[in-house]
Order: sequence, then structure tokens, then C-alpha cells
Amino acid sequence: MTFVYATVTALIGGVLNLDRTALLQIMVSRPLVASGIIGALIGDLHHGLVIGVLLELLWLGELPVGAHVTTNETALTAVITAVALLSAPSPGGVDRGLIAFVILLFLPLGLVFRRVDEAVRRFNNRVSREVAESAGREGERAIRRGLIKGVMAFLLPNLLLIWLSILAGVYVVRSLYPVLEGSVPFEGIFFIIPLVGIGSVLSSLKVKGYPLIFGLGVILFSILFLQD
Amino acid sequence: MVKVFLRSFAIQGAWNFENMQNIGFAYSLVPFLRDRKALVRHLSYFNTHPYMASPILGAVGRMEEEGAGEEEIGTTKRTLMGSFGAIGDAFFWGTMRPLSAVAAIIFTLFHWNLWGLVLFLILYNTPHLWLRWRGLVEGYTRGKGVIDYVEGLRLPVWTMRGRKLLLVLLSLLFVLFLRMAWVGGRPVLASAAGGFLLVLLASYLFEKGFGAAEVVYLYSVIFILGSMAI
Repeated sequence: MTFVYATVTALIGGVLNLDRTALLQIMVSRPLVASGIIGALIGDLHHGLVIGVLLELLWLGELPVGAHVTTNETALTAVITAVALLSAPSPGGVDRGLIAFVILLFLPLGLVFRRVDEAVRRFNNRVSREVAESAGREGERAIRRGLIKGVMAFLLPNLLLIWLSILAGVYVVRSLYPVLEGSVPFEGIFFIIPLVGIGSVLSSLKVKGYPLIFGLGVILFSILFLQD
Repeated sequence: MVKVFLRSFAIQGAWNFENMQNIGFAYSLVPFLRDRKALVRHLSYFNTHPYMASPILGAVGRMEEEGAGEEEIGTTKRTLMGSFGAIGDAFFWGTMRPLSAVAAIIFTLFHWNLWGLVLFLILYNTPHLWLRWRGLVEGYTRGKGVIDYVEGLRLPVWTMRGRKLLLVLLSLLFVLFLRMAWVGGRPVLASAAGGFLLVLLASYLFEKGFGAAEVVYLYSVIFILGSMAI
């Protein structure tokens, strides 16, 4: 079943990934959405959403401005969600420690996905030059062809990398996590991730005096929600 | 108009470092263009926020139909793409997206179902799709004067208001996570004050150029070493 789920997740992850840059931008590529869909598909919506919440916060402060290539949060989300859910000892048996471990294990993969994204955009430089050369002769047909090439360049390498990462990841996590879970406090690290995520969003806001507003809000909501 | 609107969803389809959205822009503009010469002309460098391309597409389409000069159209494109891009980045990427996502996350923490996702998509896409369509129509109606329309939307004002609301939602989210850490078993994070300082330190590190992975690893190592010491 791992093979089937890895394949279907790679297809979904690859297609949702197009929403990041190439097509639509209606935010179905965001971790909260992608994790929820993949979680529902694998049969563990709850833990899919838990992973989605953590990853959404973690990358929410990163802005795709100008030529800056951001972390490919969609591809990483597809890999992390599928690996965490498929590595559980029993269906639905994912715990917070396992989620934290899988996130820690796969964060560096973000660099690989970023390199892939940069390579795709460099490939599209060539597509742009080809289109400029042929548009005078072929008109819209040349542009349409260039656009299809560009979209496929965004789709195929990511889809393949997601698929391979899930297959390898499930094997690695099933082997390593049982050995490490007793000696490393992964459950505590689980709660560190949203704090880092909130810090990331705060840093991106550029609102004067934000620690004060945030701090007053924390005091107010602590009184409301942290009373015994 | 509908054709241009639908085509604009592929404006970044062949995004590239050299000319960025040029292919997508030319493709979206095709229904407005009369000859291949104009099409080739629009394959030059173009980059703006993808949603804010719509008012520019409308304005340029109108100018093409009215037979405006090559230089005038080029200048209009260059002038609008920079300013509209900055406004769109701040409003959509920097405010609407985190605001909708944080609201949806808070909803999800109370109701672990797919409605949180739906809420996120509705909150975000309502202004997004409205601006894409309305911007295109206004651009086509007003031509170069579309700049007055975008100014009239007062997006920078809404950006600041949205960010203040987001700060409040983030503080609620922070407290909900603390509550989860307590209710879920051991008191993993000792106090609200400790968590608060961790958030502010993370924010400071991000401002100094650290990435999410680096901060997570740094905190994890400190946490593991601290746990071993205890």
C-alpha cells in the first residue's frame, strides 16, 4: 500500500505544487490545504491537519517577492505528511513525536526542492528565448507551446522528487524512529515548531511596536483560555 | 474579457529569471491583440504581483485597441508593474494570506475537519478573485487611468489594519498552542512567559536572515540539551 499511496500523493502534490507559481495561485498549494487533502486520502485526516497546521505556520512568513525563490512548502508538505502517516505503526497511530521527527528529518530536503525550482526557472529562460524567436512566425501557437513547456517543467521534476522522497522516507523513518524515540524528546520539539512559525509570521509583518500588541493579546487570551 | 480573465491564471506558467512573466502576460493579452507584431512586443520583460497584472492587462488591452503608440504602451506597463507589484505583495502575500491562514488554523484547532481549509480558501480568494476580475474590467474601462482605481482601493491602509488584526489572532493562536501543550499531557513548555520569549527570539532571528529550518534546528538542539541536563 505504501507504493500506491506514495504514487497518488506524488501526483496530488505535483499538481497542487503548480498552484504555487505556474497556475491559479488560489492557495490550494498551501500546507494546510495540501496536508488536509493528503491526510484524507491516506485515511488519517486528523493527523494530516495537525501536520498542515505546523507546516503552514512555519512557512507563512516567507514571501515570494521578485526573483526570490522561496522554500517549496507544497512539495515538502506532501513528503512530510505522507511519510509521517505511512510510517505510523498502525493506521491512525501517529504521535506528536513521530510528526516532529519526520519534520526535522525532511526540513533539509527544502534545499533540494529549492535547487529544483531554480533549475526549472533557468530552463524557462531558454523557453522564453525560444518563444521570442518563433512568435513572429507562429504567433500564439509558439506562446502556447512555451507556456505548456513551462508548466510541465514545474510539474514533472517535483512530482518525481516527491515520489522518491516518500518511498525512501518511509523506509528511513520506520528504521530510525523506533531506535531514537526513547532517547530524544521529540514530543517537546513538536511544540517548538508552532512557536517558531509564529515568530516567522511576526517578523514578516513590519508593524511598529508589534511585541507590545502581541504581548497584550497574549495576556488577555491567557486570562481567558489558560484558567484552570 | 472573460477569455483574458481565464488566461491570466496562467500568467506565471513559464516564469523565468530573465523576463519573468513575459510569456504569461503575452498569452493573457492575445484576445485584445490584432497582429503578431504586437504579440512579439509583449514578450519583453514583465513582472508584477500575479493578481495585480489584471488591471494592467485591462489597461494595456484598451490602449492596444485604441492604437496607442509602442512607446506609450511600454512606458505604461513599466510604470504600473512596479507600483502595483509592491502594493499586491504587501496586501496579498504579506497580509491576506497570513490573516486567512491563521484564522483557518484557529478554526481547525477547535474543529478538526476540512471546513478549516474551506474557510481559508474562501477568506483568501474572495478579495483575490474579486480584484482580479474588477481590476481587469476597470483597467479596460479606464486605460492608463486605472492607477486612480487602484489608488482608490486604499490597499496600503487595509494592509496595516489587516496586520494589526493578524497580531491579535497570532496572540490567540499562541495561547491556544500553550493550552494544547498543557492539556495534551506533560507541561512541555513551562510557562507562557518562556514561550513568549521563544517567539520573540525566533522573530528576531528571522529578521536577521535565519531560515525556518535553521531556527527549528537551533531550538531543537537547545531543547534536547536542556532536557538532558534536567
